[in-house]
Amino acid sequence: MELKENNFYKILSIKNNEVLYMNYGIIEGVIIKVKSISLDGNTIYIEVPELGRKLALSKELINDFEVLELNNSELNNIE
Amino acid sequence: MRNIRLNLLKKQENKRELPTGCEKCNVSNLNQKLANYKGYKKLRIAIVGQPNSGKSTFFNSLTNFKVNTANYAGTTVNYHITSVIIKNYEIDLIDLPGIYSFGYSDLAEKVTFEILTKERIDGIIQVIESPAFAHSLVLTMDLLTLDIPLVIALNMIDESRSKGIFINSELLENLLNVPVIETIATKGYNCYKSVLKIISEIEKLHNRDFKNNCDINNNVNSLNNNLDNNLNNLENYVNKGALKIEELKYLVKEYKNIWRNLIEDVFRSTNCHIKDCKLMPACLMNIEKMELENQNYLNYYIKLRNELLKIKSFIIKNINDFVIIYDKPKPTVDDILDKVILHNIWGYVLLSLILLITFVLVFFVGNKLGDIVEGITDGFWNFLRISSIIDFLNNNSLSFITPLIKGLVDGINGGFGIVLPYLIPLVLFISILEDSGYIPRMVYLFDNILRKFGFSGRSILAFILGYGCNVTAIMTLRNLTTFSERVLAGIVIPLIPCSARTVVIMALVTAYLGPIWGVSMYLFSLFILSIVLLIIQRFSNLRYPTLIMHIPSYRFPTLKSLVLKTYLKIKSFFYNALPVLILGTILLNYLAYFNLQDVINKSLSLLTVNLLNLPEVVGLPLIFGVLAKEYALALLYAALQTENVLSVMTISQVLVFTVFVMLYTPCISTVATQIKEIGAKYTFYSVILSLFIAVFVSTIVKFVLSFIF
Repeated sequence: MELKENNFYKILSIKNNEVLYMNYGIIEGVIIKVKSISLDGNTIYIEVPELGRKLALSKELINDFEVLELNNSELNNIE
Repeated sequence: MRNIRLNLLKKQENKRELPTGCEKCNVSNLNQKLANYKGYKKLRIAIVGQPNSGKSTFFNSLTNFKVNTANYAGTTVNYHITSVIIKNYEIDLIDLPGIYSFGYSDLAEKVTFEILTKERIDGIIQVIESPAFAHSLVLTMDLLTLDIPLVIALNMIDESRSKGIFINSELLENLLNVPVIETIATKGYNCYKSVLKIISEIEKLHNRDFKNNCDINNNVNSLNNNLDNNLNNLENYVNKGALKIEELKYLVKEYKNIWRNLIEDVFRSTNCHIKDCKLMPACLMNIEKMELENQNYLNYYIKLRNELLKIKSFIIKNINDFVIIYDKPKPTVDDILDKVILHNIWGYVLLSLILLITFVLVFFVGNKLGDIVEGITDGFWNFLRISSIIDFLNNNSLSFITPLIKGLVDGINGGFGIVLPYLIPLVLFISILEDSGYIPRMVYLFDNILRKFGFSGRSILAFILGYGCNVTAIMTLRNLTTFSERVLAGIVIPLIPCSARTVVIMALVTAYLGPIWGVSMYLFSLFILSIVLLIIQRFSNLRYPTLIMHIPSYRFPTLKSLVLKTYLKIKSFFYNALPVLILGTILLNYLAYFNLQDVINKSLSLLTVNLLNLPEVVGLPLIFGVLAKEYALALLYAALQTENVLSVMTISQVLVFTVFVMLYTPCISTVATQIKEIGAKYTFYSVILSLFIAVFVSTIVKFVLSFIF
């Protein structure tokens, strides 16, 4: 899935390396915000708002997640 | 079955190797003697926490030990140990590298994991970064499974409150059944109290140990028979959703029991197929990395582990919901700064500006400081009337002492007048970048550039630190996740001009040809590094190691921390480099006294004179430059018998000499660190590679410059 800057995504499931991602606060059900994407699109700067954590991660790692893009109404419901 | 388990544990107990401690820590040895004399009881307390939680600051505030700190994950890559005497105890305080959870991913985390699980630890103080509290319980839950007395230090509590994050520490204490203390390590607030608390926890455990021994065994027995029931029971709670406080407390307690129960279960059903492992729960987190005798059990373990991870996440989420109160969210300064600093265009413009300003300031401050120091040392030597002493010695058949005094004066002058003025501002500016939180942002900015060379952005930490000191940079490689990335970075880092080589660039190129030439030398070194990496990448076809890294909040560097960091780095120069510099200068003077200098210079003339077109006398300074790069410069002055290099050498020769010094064989301390971190074989490749590159590039530079000058 192509991620876009300033959009929110919900992690539906993690396919590999659950322990590693948990270390950085990424677990199933958590919501992430894409804050910035590098010029070549290969590095992503995300925030896990629930934990107040910011992470830099390679685009390749996104393939380990099944994500769902959240629209405004879904976000309002969660808040 | 229990007997088998106990025997196994006993065997492992015997194998335990107690760490020898920090060899440099004289305080520890002194205290140990004192403790043995006075009959204090011994305790080993580990300070544990996630990366960048302030463990080393906490450790520094408790001891006189000064450990380097910075605002990014992975500053501490090895553990430090020192002794303090509190109450009737001699306590070995151990500052461990940061670890996110027992599921470690790099070598620094592994150090902590192994010490916690394989060595004797009487108590643990977990330092938690309060502003990131919500994520810190991942480690707390793992520490609880160790069954070692634990105290939680809620560190940076002032920062979390200023960010509108309030943590109910009393409720947290009640839920986890672990003492929680609010601390501010930078001010030393409550750090001592945390140690007193962990001592009382250890005392409590010792008091009840014997009494409850039988009960614990009975509990384990009852749980053995009900593993599946217990798991199902916990899962029922998870499915239930929101919990009451008492239910959550029960869940935390049962979670610990389930982990403990797993030890028995796995021993019983698999006859322990994991080698060299004291604590099964901890190892289960890393099951994919473990050596299993029977791979059939792997999927079973992973399934079990993942079930427990789900329960762990659920517990953490519920604890967070109970204990954290968020004030109204405000747009943080971090967000505003990040919009510019991580911008796809402005980010790089700012990065270039920061590097350029750092370089120019180092040059100007270094020049000014150099003039001041020179004035002081000249005045000092005039006061001592060194020239009259030398005349006196020469006239009284004591001329053999002259090289000693001359070497001493030149060595001290070289260290104070040439090296320190540039070294101090350089390490100060690097410290500002480290403490402000800018360096992790550089990781993000550099990731897409470095991936073309087979590195992740994470390795930029090592490259940036390499500009300060190659030794520190190579030690930081433990934070890289793949072996190939560690080895490749370890081989090429010596090509980065460290502060010692910067001094050579500043004193020779920038001083005579101006700052633009100095900057060009830096860019040239980067160009050479890129070409070398591209060639290696082309032939080895290394796969890009993926990046995942925590980006910390910005912090305003404190004067205290900057002074401490600069002091630590300068201290290392005084202890390691200055004595060798003085001895080297004395040796050089004696070589000249016995006319041996010429023999060495002549034997190197094929390289220096014939190939590089340099004066023959530079041979010896180049040999001494292998000890430390500053010597190449200080001894060049001594060999040329003037500090006005351009009166003896041409511009072209100065540039060729600087390029050669910048690239040739790393200093002896770097080589020793390389052997330790990447092995002797790859260190050998690195030395040969840098020597070859230095000769090859300097020859080309000489050829090109012959058309310009």
